[in-house]
Amino acid sequence: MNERMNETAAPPQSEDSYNFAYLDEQTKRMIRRALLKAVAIPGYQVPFSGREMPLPYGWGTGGIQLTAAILGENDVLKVIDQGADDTTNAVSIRRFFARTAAIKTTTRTQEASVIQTRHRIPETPLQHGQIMVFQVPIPEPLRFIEPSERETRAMHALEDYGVMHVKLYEDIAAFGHIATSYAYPVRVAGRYIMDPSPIPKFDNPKLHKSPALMLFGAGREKRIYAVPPYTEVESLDFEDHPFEIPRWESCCALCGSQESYLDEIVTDDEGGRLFLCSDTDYCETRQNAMNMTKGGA
Amino acid sequence: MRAQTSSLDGTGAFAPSGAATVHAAFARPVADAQQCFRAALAALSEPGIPALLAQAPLHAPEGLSPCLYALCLSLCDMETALWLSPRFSHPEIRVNLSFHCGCRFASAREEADFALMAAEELEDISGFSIGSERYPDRSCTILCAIPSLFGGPRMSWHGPGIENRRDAQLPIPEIFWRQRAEKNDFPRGIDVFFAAEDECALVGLPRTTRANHRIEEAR
Amino acid sequence: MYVAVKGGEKAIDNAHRLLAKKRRGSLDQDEISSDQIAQQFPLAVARVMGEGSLYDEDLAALALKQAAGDVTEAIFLLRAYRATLPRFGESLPMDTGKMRLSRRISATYKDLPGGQLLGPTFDYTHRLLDFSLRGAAKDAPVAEREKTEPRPDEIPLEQTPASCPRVFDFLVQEDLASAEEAAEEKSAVPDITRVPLTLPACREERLQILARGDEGFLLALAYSTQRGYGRTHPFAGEIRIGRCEVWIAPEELGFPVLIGEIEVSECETVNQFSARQDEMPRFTRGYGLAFGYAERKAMSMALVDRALRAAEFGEEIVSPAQEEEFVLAHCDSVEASGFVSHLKLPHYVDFQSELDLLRKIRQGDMAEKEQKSVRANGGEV
Repeated sequence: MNERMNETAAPPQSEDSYNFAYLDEQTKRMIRRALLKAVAIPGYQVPFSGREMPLPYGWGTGGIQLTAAILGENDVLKVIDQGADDTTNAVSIRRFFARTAAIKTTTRTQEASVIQTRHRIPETPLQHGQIMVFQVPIPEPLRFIEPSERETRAMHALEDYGVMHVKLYEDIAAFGHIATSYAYPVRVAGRYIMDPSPIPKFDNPKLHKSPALMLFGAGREKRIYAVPPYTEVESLDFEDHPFEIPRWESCCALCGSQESYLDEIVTDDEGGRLFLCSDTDYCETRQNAMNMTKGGA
Repeated sequence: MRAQTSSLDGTGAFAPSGAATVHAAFARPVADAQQCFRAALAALSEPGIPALLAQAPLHAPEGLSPCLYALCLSLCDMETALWLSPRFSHPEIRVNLSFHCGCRFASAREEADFALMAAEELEDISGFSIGSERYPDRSCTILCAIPSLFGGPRMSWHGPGIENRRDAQLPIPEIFWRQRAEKNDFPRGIDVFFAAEDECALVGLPRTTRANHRIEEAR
Repeated sequence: MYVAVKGGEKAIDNAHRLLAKKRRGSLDQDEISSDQIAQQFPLAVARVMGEGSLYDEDLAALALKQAAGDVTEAIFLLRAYRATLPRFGESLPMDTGKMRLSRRISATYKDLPGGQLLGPTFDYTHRLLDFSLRGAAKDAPVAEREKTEPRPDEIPLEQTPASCPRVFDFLVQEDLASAEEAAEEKSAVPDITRVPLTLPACREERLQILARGDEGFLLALAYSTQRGYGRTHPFAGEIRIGRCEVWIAPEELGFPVLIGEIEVSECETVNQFSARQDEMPRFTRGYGLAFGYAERKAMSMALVDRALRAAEFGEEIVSPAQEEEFVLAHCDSVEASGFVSHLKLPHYVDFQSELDLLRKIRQGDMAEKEQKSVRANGGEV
């Protein structure tokens, strides 16, 4: 149990030369102002003058800058990558904040006040007061259809989203399905089309009217956007091809969950497959509960 | 350049030019600014729910409530232009804000990133930028002093950040609501923070919030 | 029973240890000092300073050492460090006309005021490996002349020409080229590291981005314009390398103060003439400036700068080097290498959704084909 909770960071080095949570106050204020605009215009991408961080672009610099700008001494931080707390990038980012901000960290979804994530939303329902920080590689949902920023900005301004519907419909014509399984576009509060970051579309419904505040940071592309709590977030679809989330025929081999998102593990070279929860905290909590029941019985 | 509050002596005040006095601002600049920002973020994320400020500045300039002063300290700096309404345009406020924030003061409403106003001055919100269609974020945010967060006409708010609808009773001029409705053209619009004078709390009013009088609702 | 993979933290620590070992190499060799790198790899140091956009030879050398010679990684280290530095103010525009030259050449005139100064250059070296440099050079004799001749940065001020006119100044005098707009006439130059970029960008912003841009990327784009992808008929009007003074004018002082000297490479290309509305045709120019001895970078930058001015001169935009958004969005090596390398991070959650989708589509296809074949068979009967 202890190894899951509040892992102690590597012995502090000479971090005193950096400000609390690494960023200087000027940069934090600039990000904070952008965040307030993002909340006021749900789903709209606010440009901000992102800084080089000591981690490479593409590895969560947007999320890290947002987390650094919002984090306070009393926050409890959880960091996940692919739903897991112990993936190397999650470990590295958690360590970064434990070291530069000396804050409490956790792997428990329920105990966290701020959750930085790459590619997943936890299975445990989020609560009012929690803040999710998403790492975003390409914030522009229209980018793969129209590479020019000048053009896509005009499309958003005019609410001209025809190309997106055409693209989704072409998928249906070619494959019989909308061929987007992650970073599935959503419409926020009936206005902006937004990239929910590369979460599997399985997680899209968790964005809709969530009690938590959702913040999105794209460091390399220098954009910030947000979804306030209790905001409508619909996944794009068509009447004859409604949005559906994938279901597994198997359940988690460790905790038996049939509701959670499962990772497929190749166990041998003869087609052996195993399915496990991608959300490690959710899975371990269920396993512990099962063990308790067994022990009690 | 931004000066450190810690450089002040024990009395927390000194007068550089004799006329206006510079006071100490946040006791713990980094932590207090963060707390204030989080209150602002909470207030704007959930319009109508008062967000409490745990730490107010040590000594607000005369005429500026601690809560409103805290907002200025945590949001303004040399990259922003602040417009002062007649009520706030006096030397002590200018000297303290320019000393602690290093902010520029906008001479025209059109240039303002932030505007400092009193509730009764909300009768006229003309001139402030609502941003462009491509960049609706380039709009002015009003930081408004309000005697209390309650006591005004009962209104019902709804929109992002509000689960169903929320009651609000801000004591502000009626004409503000009409002007706001005429001015805002989503995604373009004005966002407002109301900072109470009777307690250290604030309420956010983003451009997305639709506000109706309860009576109209009932019809 | 299956046990999930754990121990990310330990793996990271081990990786750091192994990397340190890889960097140090064989312990039989003396460890190289960052001072040695600063002195003996000045061109690598210049590139790191330029693309890292921080003029500090010692830190650039340290970054190169720490990065085990990986220039892109060293640039990233310096950038990340730079991002934490406070900004004290801005310098006055640097006058490269007053440069203490170590090299100055013009391809457009045989001779010109100030003269041609070849200086230290690889240009006329025969690219033959010099085996005398091999191994530890401790015992190699240092030529007497090498000991006594001052390096360009050691030449006393009074021995360098006070000022050497620029080639473009002659053309402007004759009205064969337009003068560059003086900075004073414009409002403050936007700092691309502080203000989010809005497209279309202004030339000041473009030049800042190009100055930090990856040399290889800019070189390839510059080359493409010569091969016809956005041709601009360039001449190397002038290339000058030397040391320039940096002045600041703090508001509280009210007069300018000299804060130091930096080495820069500057290139101005004379390009095809163009006639703006109701004007006589004039030559156009491209501009490149880079920290340190970085001639290739400065030349590439000048060619790309000129190509990006297509709209200004009413030229049709048909090639990559002319596409502002394409060039500006992709020329930064820190951004590019970060995003390409992020593919190494786990993506198994998204891959899982793709797997499911592909299987589902294939099932659908199979079912459809079966139905079709049933129908087809039915038709025969």
